[in-house]
Amino acid sequence: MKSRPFIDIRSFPQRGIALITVLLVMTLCSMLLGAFLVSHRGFIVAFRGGQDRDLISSLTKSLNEYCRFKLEEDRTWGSSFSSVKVSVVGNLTIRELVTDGPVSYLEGRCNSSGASFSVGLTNNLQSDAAGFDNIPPRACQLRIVVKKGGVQGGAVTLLQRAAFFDSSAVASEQIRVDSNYISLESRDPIRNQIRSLGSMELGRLKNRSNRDRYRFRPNEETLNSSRGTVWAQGAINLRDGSGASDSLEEAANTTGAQWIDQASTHYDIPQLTLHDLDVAEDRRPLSIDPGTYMFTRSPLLVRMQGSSEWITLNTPIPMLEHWEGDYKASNIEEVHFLEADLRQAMRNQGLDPLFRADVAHLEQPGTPVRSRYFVEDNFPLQEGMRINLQEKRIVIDADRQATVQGDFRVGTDQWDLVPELNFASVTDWSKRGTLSATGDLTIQGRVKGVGNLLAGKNLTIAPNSVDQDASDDSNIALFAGNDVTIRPPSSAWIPSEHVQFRGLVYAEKNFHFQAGWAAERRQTLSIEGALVARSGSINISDANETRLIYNPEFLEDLLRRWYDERSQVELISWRPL
Amino acid sequence: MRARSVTLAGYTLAESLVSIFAFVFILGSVFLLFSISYRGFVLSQTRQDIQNEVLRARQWLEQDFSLTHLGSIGILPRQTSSYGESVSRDAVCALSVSDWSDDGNFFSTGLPRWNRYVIYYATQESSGRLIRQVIDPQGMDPPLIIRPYPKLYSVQPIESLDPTEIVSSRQLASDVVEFNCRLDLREQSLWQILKVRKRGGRATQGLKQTDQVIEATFRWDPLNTAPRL
Repeated sequence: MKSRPFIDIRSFPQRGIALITVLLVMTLCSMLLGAFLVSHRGFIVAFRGGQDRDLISSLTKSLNEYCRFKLEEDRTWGSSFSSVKVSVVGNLTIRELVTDGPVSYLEGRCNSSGASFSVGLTNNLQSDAAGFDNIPPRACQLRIVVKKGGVQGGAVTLLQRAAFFDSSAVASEQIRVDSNYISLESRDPIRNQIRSLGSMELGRLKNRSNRDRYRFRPNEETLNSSRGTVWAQGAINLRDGSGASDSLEEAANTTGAQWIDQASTHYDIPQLTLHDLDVAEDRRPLSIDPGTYMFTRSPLLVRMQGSSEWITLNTPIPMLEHWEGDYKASNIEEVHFLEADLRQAMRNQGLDPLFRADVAHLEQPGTPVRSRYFVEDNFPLQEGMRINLQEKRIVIDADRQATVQGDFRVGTDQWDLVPELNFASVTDWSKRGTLSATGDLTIQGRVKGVGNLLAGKNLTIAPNSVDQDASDDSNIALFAGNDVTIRPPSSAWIPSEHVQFRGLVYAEKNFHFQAGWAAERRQTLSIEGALVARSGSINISDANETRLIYNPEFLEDLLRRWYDERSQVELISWRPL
Repeated sequence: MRARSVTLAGYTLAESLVSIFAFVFILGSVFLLFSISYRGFVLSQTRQDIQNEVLRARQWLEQDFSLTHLGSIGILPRQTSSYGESVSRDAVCALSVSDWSDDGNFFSTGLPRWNRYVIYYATQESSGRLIRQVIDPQGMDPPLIIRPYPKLYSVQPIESLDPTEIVSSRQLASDVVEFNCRLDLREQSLWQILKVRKRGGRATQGLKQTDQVIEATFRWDPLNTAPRL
């Protein structure tokens, strides 16, 4: 006899009970799971949403960086895609779509996360005018849309060409400005700043006349929220000679600018060499003998033909002396004067002006000098370089690139003469004359016109008169492999008040400006462009006003080649979608 | 005649005791299991609450500090005592705009036309609250210049700001222990530590009361810092 099991699953009722039991257990489990999920739903949704948002945020930044990189490679990228091009960058598959309209598009997908994206690209980097949809000049707008699951995000970003030098004044070491007024101005739409990798000594907020010392004037046409920035990696001291000082907080409240001291941000000042500066290739070379070109008035000695006696002409003759080496008599190389002046001096002495005579310099009585006398003033010393004795002016033609192998100096030994170096390009700013010397370059007088003064070593401008009206017809850029020194006259009788440069003023080491007549402080130093002391300091003393005007356009004149080659693009604004 | 046999169905005392002990054991186990599960559930619920609060706070912090200008971030360091130790309860401010989708809030250069400040601070009581306030500063016409909100440093405590300047105020988290902010100028970023601690009931094992603590560290790179400082 077979024994019966306790539960015989083959019997119908018991199988039913088993099924119901299983279902009950499953239902219970489902309810437990459901309750768990319901209670955690909020968190799961929030967590997953947070993950998606993180992903979208990261992807948006990556796409912005990708486009920035592409634009740095080629500033015209995205202006117009002529064919579909697919590229894989890391986890991203990016497809450039054929452009149909002012906006170009990228589409793609993140292979690891499954997120999809599109980028609308309006490239206006190469234009100096506002573009489609009011995109600012030299800017590119990106509209980045990223989708992941049901979440969508992204940003509208604006990228812009970065400036080569981004400040009106920048120095590796101290910036010291001793001036009644300090104006920081800018023609750039977003920047108005000075930077020092060292410290700054700038004077108190009120000057000696109890007036506001600081004037921040950003570009009024493109107002923004920043009046300006004074930035230093060292201390910024706003103090006077007595040691009394103002705080940077007071300065910020008074001026509306940002005053940032002890800054720890990395900042580089780009280095330039003489060869980096842009000189148009169509300029004809002009080789100038090194030495000193001295405007003076001096008696000459003449020896009438057939006579052995040297006669000193008592009437001083305006002349240009050319010295080589040190300023001593034996180094006189040439003298240049007008024939009419010589004849008049001979006539004054009772000599026959038409009689042929040898000429000697007073300093070298027994030796006839190489002398060249010209019938008319404004005579060519050599092709591309003219001399105007009446105006005490050396004129270098605008289409010339003048080079000097050694030192070059223009000066005078007469207190009432004001020599002038002139780049004859006043009417056409696109034509910049260039005078470069491999050694020191010294101009003891005015510099006018539109041109570049480039010195392999030191560059000194010490005018015994300065630009009276600071008119807009001068545009001079300075470069020195060592120091740039500007030393205006200190004579009280000089009526002028302005020393002005437009363009880049670059000193590989230090920049010095020592205004004259410290007691009255009447002179204004104005530099429109950028003032750079790459590895040294900026020292401005005893000026009435120091105007540092940042104008990137003037920099481009000199650095066009750099702008073409070095196409940095920077983020200007970021708007969430 | 044979006696009639009767079978009595019943349990011996031993059987009953064993059954009762088995039943109590099973029931106790079930209750213990339930109790442990319940405590675990309560703990996880508490943890979720904190995480939700931190996530919510994070969204607001990211929105405000990723879109601001570095030069406008100001930090007022504040200390208080919580759970017997000294902790930071800083206040931090930054510039913002009233509506990021409004073209009127941008200059032609593309730069934001700042017209609001946002302020975050953790209140000073032992179990603090993280507050976010949007400020429309009186007497300062837009565009606001790039600097920290001046009253962050002049109004003490920051909780007593003029209500007419406050456009909106929102509590982002409760039971805040620490809210520490630090500017990293080298990296041009803002670091924030948000530490939240909630009473979490008993642990799943034992009778010891345990608190749930979450400490989140955030780093924000203010993207609208142009030009870069």
